[in-house]
Amino acid sequence: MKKVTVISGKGGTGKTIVTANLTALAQDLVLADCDVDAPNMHLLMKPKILEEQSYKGGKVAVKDEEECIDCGLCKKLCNFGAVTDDYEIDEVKCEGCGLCAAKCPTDALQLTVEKTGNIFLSRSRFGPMVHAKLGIGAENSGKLVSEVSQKAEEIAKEQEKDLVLIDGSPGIGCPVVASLNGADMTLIVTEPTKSGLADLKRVLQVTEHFGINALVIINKSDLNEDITVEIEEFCQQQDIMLAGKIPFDSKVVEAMRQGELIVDYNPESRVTAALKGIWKRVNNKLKE
Amino acid sequence: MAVEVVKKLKKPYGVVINRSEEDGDGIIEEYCNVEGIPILLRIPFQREIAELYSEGIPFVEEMPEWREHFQEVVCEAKKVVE
Repeated sequence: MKKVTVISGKGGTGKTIVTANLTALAQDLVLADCDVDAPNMHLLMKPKILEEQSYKGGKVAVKDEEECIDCGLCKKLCNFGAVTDDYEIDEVKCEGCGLCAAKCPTDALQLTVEKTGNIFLSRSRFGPMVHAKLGIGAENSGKLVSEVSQKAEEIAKEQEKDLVLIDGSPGIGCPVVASLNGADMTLIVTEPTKSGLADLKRVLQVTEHFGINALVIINKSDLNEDITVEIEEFCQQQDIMLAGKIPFDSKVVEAMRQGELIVDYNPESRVTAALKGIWKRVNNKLKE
Repeated sequence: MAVEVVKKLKKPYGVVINRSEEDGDGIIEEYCNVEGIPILLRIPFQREIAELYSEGIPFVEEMPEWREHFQEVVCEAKKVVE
């Protein structure tokens, strides 16, 4: 079983659309939406939810009313403004650092694990899908990512699927690192913009650090041909394989508005052809 | 989701529609109407804007008519905050 994570460095490059369309081309796989801060894959996949589990990740201070003597020390100490004027804990603002609990003279405050999200085990028309929803303002999204990715792997083993495809998050932070854990390959979706290239270079430092084989996809490649060439040259210098280029096409926008995948909506388009080429190269590379 | 966050934080808020197109804005407009959220600005889905961005140029610098629109939004926001 192979695990492939799609990431982007920069937001808005089209990572989720690329992942969704590769899912349709790959078939018979387990799909995991690890972009738990802004999960959108379910909107494209319209999966049927089979099971829902609650996820407990973050910690929050909880007050014992009977022990509290209203001394106000917690409010004075809290760096996050999470203690209200009448000494109640604001769960959204509380970062779970534990300072108030440690300093409370009557031990009225304690750190407790709180429910921070939901994990869904679902089925799309391409196979099992695992996704999640993080609670509003909740922290520890990296831990939830790990949980989603692990569930997807378990299901793949149980059902003898050859591939787990993971939609990661943008950026280079904790949730991205968590989504790369155990990956055999990562696909980095970038775009020909100054920030696209800068963020590609940053995210490549992460994949190099973890020794994960990275392939680059340039989306909307005809938006700025010069920067596309710059990205291609950079990849060549760094000995990074280019999985393919996808031209900009308003048909993609149209398809998305209808909640459809471009490979279904417009199977003859240049975008579909480009995606097919990318999937072929990725698949060959996985078999090496 | 973003609206839920700012609601919880009790901050004033408004919406800017990016890559706006007349026939595509419907679902956002409907949502904002129902929720009573002001739409402050619509930035059109234009290749020129995307190309300028790709070179790292803020489009208000090259398209002066947009300078005014953005200034209006800033004024609006200042009024609410002050």
